[in-house]
Parts: sequence; C-alpha cells; structure tokens
Amino acid sequence: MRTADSTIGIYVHVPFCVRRCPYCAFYSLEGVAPELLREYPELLLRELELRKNTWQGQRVGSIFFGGGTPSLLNPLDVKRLMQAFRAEFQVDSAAEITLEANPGTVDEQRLADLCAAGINRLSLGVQALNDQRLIFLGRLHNREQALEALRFAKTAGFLKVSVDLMVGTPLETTDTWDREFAILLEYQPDGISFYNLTLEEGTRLARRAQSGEKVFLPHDEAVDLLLHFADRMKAAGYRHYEVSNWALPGAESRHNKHYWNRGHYLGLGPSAHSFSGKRREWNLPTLKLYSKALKEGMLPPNQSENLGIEETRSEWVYLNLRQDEGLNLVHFKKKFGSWPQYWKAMLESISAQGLGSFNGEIFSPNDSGLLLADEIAARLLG
Amino acid sequence: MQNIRNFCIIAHIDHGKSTLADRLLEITGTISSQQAHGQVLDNMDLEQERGITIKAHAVTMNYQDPELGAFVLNLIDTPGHVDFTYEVSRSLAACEGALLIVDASQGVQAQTLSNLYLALGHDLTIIPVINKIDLPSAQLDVTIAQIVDLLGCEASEILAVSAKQGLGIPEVLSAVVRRIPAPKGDPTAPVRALIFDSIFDTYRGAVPYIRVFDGTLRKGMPILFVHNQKQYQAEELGTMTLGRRPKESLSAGEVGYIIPGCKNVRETRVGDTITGAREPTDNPLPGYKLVKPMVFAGLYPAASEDYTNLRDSLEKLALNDASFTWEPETSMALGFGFRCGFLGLLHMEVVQERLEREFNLNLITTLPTVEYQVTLEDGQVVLIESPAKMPVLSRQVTVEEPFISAEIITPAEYFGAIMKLALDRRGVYKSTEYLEGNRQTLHYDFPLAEVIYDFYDRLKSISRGYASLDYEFIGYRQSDIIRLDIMLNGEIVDALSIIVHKDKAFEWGQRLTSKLKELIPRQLFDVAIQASIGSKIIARTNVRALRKNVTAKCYGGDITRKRKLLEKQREGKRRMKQIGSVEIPQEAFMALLRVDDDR
Ligand SMILES: Nc1nc2c(ncn2[C@@H]2O[C@H](COP(=O)(O)OP(=O)(O)O)[C@@H](O)[C@H]2O)c(=O)[nH]1
Ligand code: SF4
Repeated sequence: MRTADSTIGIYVHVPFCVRRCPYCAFYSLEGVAPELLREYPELLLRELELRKNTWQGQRVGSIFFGGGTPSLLNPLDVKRLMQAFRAEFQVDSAAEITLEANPGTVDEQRLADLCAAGINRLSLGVQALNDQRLIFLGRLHNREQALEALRFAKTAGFLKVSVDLMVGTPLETTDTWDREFAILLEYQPDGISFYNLTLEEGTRLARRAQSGEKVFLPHDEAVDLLLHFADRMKAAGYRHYEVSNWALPGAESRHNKHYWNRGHYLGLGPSAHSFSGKRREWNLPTLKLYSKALKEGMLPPNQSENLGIEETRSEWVYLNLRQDEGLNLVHFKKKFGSWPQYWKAMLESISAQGLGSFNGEIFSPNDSGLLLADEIAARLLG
Repeated sequence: MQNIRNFCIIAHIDHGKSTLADRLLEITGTISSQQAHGQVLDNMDLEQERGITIKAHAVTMNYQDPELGAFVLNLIDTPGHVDFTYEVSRSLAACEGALLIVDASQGVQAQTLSNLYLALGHDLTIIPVINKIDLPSAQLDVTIAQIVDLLGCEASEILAVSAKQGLGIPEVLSAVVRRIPAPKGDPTAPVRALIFDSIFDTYRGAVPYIRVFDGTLRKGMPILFVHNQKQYQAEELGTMTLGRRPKESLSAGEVGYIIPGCKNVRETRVGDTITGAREPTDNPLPGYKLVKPMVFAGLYPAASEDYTNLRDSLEKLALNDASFTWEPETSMALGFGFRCGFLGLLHMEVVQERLEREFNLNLITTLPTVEYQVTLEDGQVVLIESPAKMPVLSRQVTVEEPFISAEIITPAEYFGAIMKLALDRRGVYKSTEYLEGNRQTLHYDFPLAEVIYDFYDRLKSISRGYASLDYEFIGYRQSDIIRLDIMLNGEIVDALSIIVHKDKAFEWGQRLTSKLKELIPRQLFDVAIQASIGSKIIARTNVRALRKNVTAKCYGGDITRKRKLLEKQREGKRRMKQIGSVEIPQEAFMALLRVDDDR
C-alpha cells in the first residue's frame, strides 16, 4: 500500500533573494544583507533545538533547502546544518538532500562545495532558455548563465540534478520551446518541472494583469503547450509523476513525493510548515519576529490547524489525483471507510473522456487528467 | 364632512413624493421630525431600495388652518408601477384631489404624465407643486411653463416648495383645504366603503384600509363584503396615524382601517365594497376587479432541504399579498418546488427578493410564462401555465393565449420607434388619439406573453422614459403556440422549456442556446446545448470541456492553502444545479430572462 513512509522530511526555508521575481508569492526578502545571511543559520539551529524533542529519534528520509534562494547560503553553513540534523536525528544513508539554486548565484566552486557539504540533489531554477522570457519573468540570469550553471551542476558530483521551467507567459509557442528543449535534453537532467505561471494575489504580475496587461498565455494555448511537453518528455523517457513534475524513472524527488503522500515533515524558518499527521503548523512569514523570538529563546510565532477526518480525506484525494499513480479506492476504503457510490460512475466517465484509466479500483490520470486534478477532486468530493 | 380632505401625491420617481409627505406629517405634528427621517410612507425596505412604493398606505393628519379652522387630512399613498395599476386606481378612487409634484431641475417626466392621466381619469382636483426649488439647477420658469402647458392652469396656481428644506409647506396645506373639494356622501345612507388596500397583521389578521363613501360604520356592527359575499363583524375600526388609532365609528368621507377578523387578505380584496350586513347597499362602488395573477414561474429552493421552509414562507407571504398564488410542482431538473402566479414581472421580483431576504432562502426561478388555454384532442379545455405541462402539439390541439389591450401615451416623436417595437411584439394596431401638447395615445392589442418580459423597459428606453403604458386583459385568442425545449447533452431540461409563438421559436432557440453557452462554465465534459421543438433541433451550440484546473505547485507549505481553495471550489459547485452530468449555475435560470440585453 502506497502511504507515507515512516521517515520524516526536513524542510529548511531560506528567505532571501537577490531580487524578487514579479510572479512569486513565496516568503522571501529582497536584497541580501550579509549580516542577515550570516546570522540566519544560527537562528535555524536555535529553532531546531526548540523543536527537536517532538521529533526525537525519527528517521529522516529527505532534507530540502528551499526558498527563496538557498544557493545564497554559505556552503559551510549548509554543512553545519547537515551536521546538526545528523546529530539530532537518524538521517538515512540514502537520504535525498536537495538544495534549490538559482543560476547567477552559483559558480563551479560553490556547487562543488555544496556537494561536499552533503547536498546530493540540486534543483536548478532555469525557468527558460530564452533571454526575452527571462527578462519578462524578472530573473537574474540569462540563457548563457543558465546553461553554465547546468554544466557545472552536472559535473559537481550531485546524484540528481533537476531543472525548473516556467511555462505560460504570452511570449511562448511550441516552436520557441522546442529549440530550448532540445538543448536542455542534451544535459540529461534527472528531473524537469514545468510550472504553469499562475496569478498569485498581491504580486506585481497580478497587478499588471489587473491593469489589463496580457501576462498569461490563454487557457487553451497553455494546455496545448503543456501537452506538447508531455509528448516530448515521454519520448525522451521521462515519467510524468506529478502535475508539474517529470523525472527519469527512479529519479523522482523523494522529498516532494513525501509531501504528496502526506508523510510527516519538520519545517524550519519563517513561513515553513511542519506536519505531524493530525496537525499542521507554520511559522509566520516574518523574519523579524522569527529572529526576535529565537533570540529570546522562544519559538517563533506560528499558526496551526488540526486536521479532522474531512480535511484529511480532502487532502488525501486531491493529493493522490495530482500523481500519476492516482486514486486507489481500496486504499481509500482502508483509510476512510467506504467511498461514495457515485465515484465509480464518475471515474468511469472521466476515463471515457480521455483523462485517465480506471480499472474499478484505481483511477490513474493521464497527462490531460493531471491538468484537471483540482476539477476532478472538486467533483469527487462534491 | 366639510372639514375632511382626501388626497394623494403623484410624481415621477425621485421628484420628492416621500420627502414632501414627511414634511406634511411633520408640520401637522403627526410625527416628530426625527421620525420623518425614516420616510414614513414607504415602510418596506424593498420599496425604499427600489424607489417604488408597492403597498399603498394612508395617514390621517389634523390640520389647523389659520382662517378656516380645523381639518382632517387623509393622505393616501399610491404604488407606482404598471404591475399595480389596479391598486393605484383604487387608491385614486378614494381621493378627491392630488398633489402633482414636479422636480424643478428635471421638469415634467414620463411618470408625471402617466400618473397625471390616471388622476384625471378619476376626476381628481390637481394641485401642481414644483419641488426642489432650492437646487442650483432648478429651472423654475421652464417648469412652470411646462405645467401651464400640461394642465392648462394659471402660473399663479402653481406652488413652489423645497420639501427638503421645508420651504412652502404651509402653502401646500392651505391649498389642499381650499382647492380640493370636501368629500360628498350621505352619512345616514346604507354603508358603502371602498377597500383601497389591505395589509396583514400577524395578530389581527387582514386589515383593510377603507374610504367610507356613504353611511357610518360602527364598531361591533356586522359587515358584508359585497363582492366576496362574506360576512364579518367590525371588531375594531379607526384612523391611521403612525399606528392604528381606534374610534367608535367611521362616517361618509372618512378614511381609516377596519379589523373584520378575517384570517386572510384574500377575503378583503382591494376594490371590494364593505357594507352593513343588516342594511346592505344594493349599489356597490364601481370599478371592482378581481386581480388575478397573469405571470407564472417555478420557484425552487436551491437546496432541496429548504423545501419546507419555502412552503412555509410562501404561505406567510400569501397572507399579505392577495394577488400572489402558489401550488406545488415538481421538476425533473430542479426537484420539488412551487408554481407561483404574479401580477407581473416586477411583482415576481419583489416576491422573490422578499423570500430571499426576509425568509433567508436561496431560490431558483424558472422563466416566467403566461397562462394558456389549451383544447385537447378529446375536446377538453385546460389552463396551462407551465411549459412542462404543455402537450406535444398536434393538429387536433388548439392553443389560445391571453391578450391585453394596451394604451400607450407618448410624445409624437417616439411614435415610429414604438410602432416598431409593437410590431416586433406581435402587436395588433387599433387606433391613435391625438392629445394636446403633441402627444398621442396608441391603442394596441398584444399577446400578454410579449409584454411581460421587458416590454415596459424597452418602451421606456426607446421613448427616453416618456411613454406610459396601461393595459388590461381582454381575453384569449387562438395562436400558433409551441413548446420549445432545451437539451443539455441530449437530455431535456424541463425547467428551461419555454412556450413561444411559432414564428419566434427559431429566434428564441438561438438566443437561449447562445446565452446558455455564456452562462454554463467550462467543465469536465463537453456540454452540447440544443433547442428543439418536438424532435426537431432548431439551434445548437456547445461549451467545450475545460482542459486545465490545477494549481501548479503543491509542496509542504501549500497543502493547507490548496485544500482551502478546493473547499471554495466545492462550495461553488454546490451552488450549481447538477442536471445529468452538467453543472448549471443557479443564476443561469434567471439570467435567461435577460436574453434581450444583448440585442
Ligand atoms: N435638494 C432637494 N432635494 C430633495 C427635495 N425633496 C426631495 N429631495 C431629494 O430627492 C430624492 C428623492 O426624494 P424622495 O422623496 O425619496 O422621492 P420619491 O421617489 O418621489 O418618493 C431624495 O434624495 C431627497 O432627499 C428638495 O426639496 N430639495
Ligand atoms: S528567486 Fe525564486 S523565491 Fe526568489 S523571488 Fe524569484 S521565484 Fe521567488
């Protein structure tokens, strides 16, 4: 049965970016003050100190340095944090240790140092291999820098390198992408994530959209593009294991799958979430209060929610529908008791519509079905 | 009787009828100035918001004239929409005079005219009053000239006031007592009292508002409703100030209320004559009409568990509103609901809003229809007011539809546009009368079905508000009427069927299908929308399946937020009506009414 494995994941949020991208809603501070960056790992260690008791003795299957721009961290600090994790928990020898890096913030040496610090999976924020679009997206780097970072990443010694791409600006066509794609595939990344550009409230892009600027590719064109990628990726041997994520078989991100299978995780840093099965809690997205509290020896301000059966059920359904392995009714029944009668007919007609396959027990969405995961979830949950 | 004056105020909307009424109440000490701020005459929220007065009410004021002494003034309020013309006419019948208010900055407007004609039709003495003279944009001279032209009166007869600032109000009262004639009548004759309105009091039952024309009604006396032929007792009677003020009797010329102890306003019909049961009149007051619903629509609870609540609410509402009818009906698409009858669309909207607001119900309303008279193959004649009940037509079945005779008063320049509209609405031209001031009265017969939708609004818009409409039912006439069905993915949605004239079926089919295409959101499946007559498809379109609805990123920090988004989305879906595999937004049913907006 595919359930969360018994290990936990650790997430470390690094809330610094050289410059904010106009579409981004993650918690991150613009401009990097060296003192803050130096002091930050210290705060993380203090938070760990205060939280570790709850998680004592747990086995750790994956660690993820996300952001923000974690590649701004000093590799020595990464190493210190890794040592602390190893000291407090049982980190699996095969644990997946990911760090997100942005081209333009890393050189050959830094990548090698990060690798030496214990990072074995690098997630590279390439976004596009086209300068015009990189400018539209407000990124730091250009196409050359992206390719250079990719080259260094491949030789630095990481076990896995994956690449993030941003899809859905009005500047794209399948043709422009095909050229970028061909180049990208030459580097044989272990995974590629296609993130569809979305409107996040409060962002600069959202304001531009409100003022009437065309900042998104229209619905059908975006879908055509995403399905076009799907074909190309499949031809290149990749597996579409989640809505936005592709990987060579066996190279799927363990940490991310852990989230989707509702595994438990400890989050450190402002805005980071922790989940212990029945309860999710998160630090407020404010470095100031985070830092103040920890310096006073207290836990940073946070919020939490307790998940009842209804919430658990919704999460379970929608998260499974986001994965190619899909919704397993037998598993559902074991967890939640019987499933609503109408599901069967609904899943059958959804499959007949060409959105996946259903054998009476498991509904597995295909590429088109994954793009409708939320719609299907809303329909099933009624 | 000599010191009684019964009058009403007529005006175009917003010209200051309510404000002036408040001033009158204030200056006569009937209410305090604080109370005046609430604008006492319009006391339903809804009326205030829509700027229309739906229910007529009456207030009695005591006025001391400096020269002529003490007077009793009865101010009778009138509703102002074509759906309620009959109620207006009964209120006017209770008066001897009317204040005609004209906004100094707007001048004579459409409703000024239509209300004036109604008042003149009842031989009321008109006192012209120009209001809002305090406004910088007031055009006193122009407005005076307009009124002189309209009424053929002297400029000196026109009063100028500011209701808002309380200027010129004593002059208004002075004119009321001097110009409006005292009521006539014989206090010793058999009682004849006109019901011009009737409200429902939860504790006392129906409370008719009456104007006594002859005789004297006394507390405790047995009374008879002439048309309704029901006998009651005058449990209580009196006059209306802010509340009810009981008295021992009401005599010829007086206005007030009576509590007969009946449980239902249906027994105290507006226009009926109350007389004494022991010495009944054999000459009831003229003009009685049993107003019947003309427009019918299905009302369904959006959530089926609200059915009982809806039924109870309709029951309560009907106590208060004699012209509203309801009976249970079932729809394949919408489940259990009610087929309700209304005077017109405005009445329907008012009822619907009251249900939603006062009874906290979420409703789905189907397209309104009129009542058809159908002769079936076996010769049986049935009345059908629901598309679902309309039989499939064959040559043996004949359908007759209700016709009205309409009187449209319009300045000559809009004549052409109105002719065109009339033609489009299957109007049958009758005659034209030429009026003074370059105006005309057009007489037309129309199928009622063509008038209920947006005829009035269109008439107003093509005549820039100047044309007025008055109509009355004249009978049934045979027509080529058919049922037009709407199918979603091949299934007929009964709640979307309409009854139309054959010549208009194609146009309606096109309009409904394309409007539905706009209203139905893209969903998991293609939705084929078809309009059909019997088995013949006359229009089709489709809503292409949705292709993407998923958030791109979903990591540890997004799971809660995403779940909440999903909950919202599910909430949205719950507000949709599921018909077969198709989800239709509730608003779609009503929005179809407004198909004409796009033309
Ligand atoms: N300036 C000015 N405004 C007035 C006067 N009388 C009424 N109004 C305003 O005109 C609007 C419509 O008045 P109302 O009495 O509700 O009109 P009704 O629709 O005829 O009942 C309100 O905003 C009043 O405050 C007046 O004498 N002067
Ligand atoms: S670099 Fe990443 S985290 Fe920073 S602003 Fe851009 S998208 Fe957001």
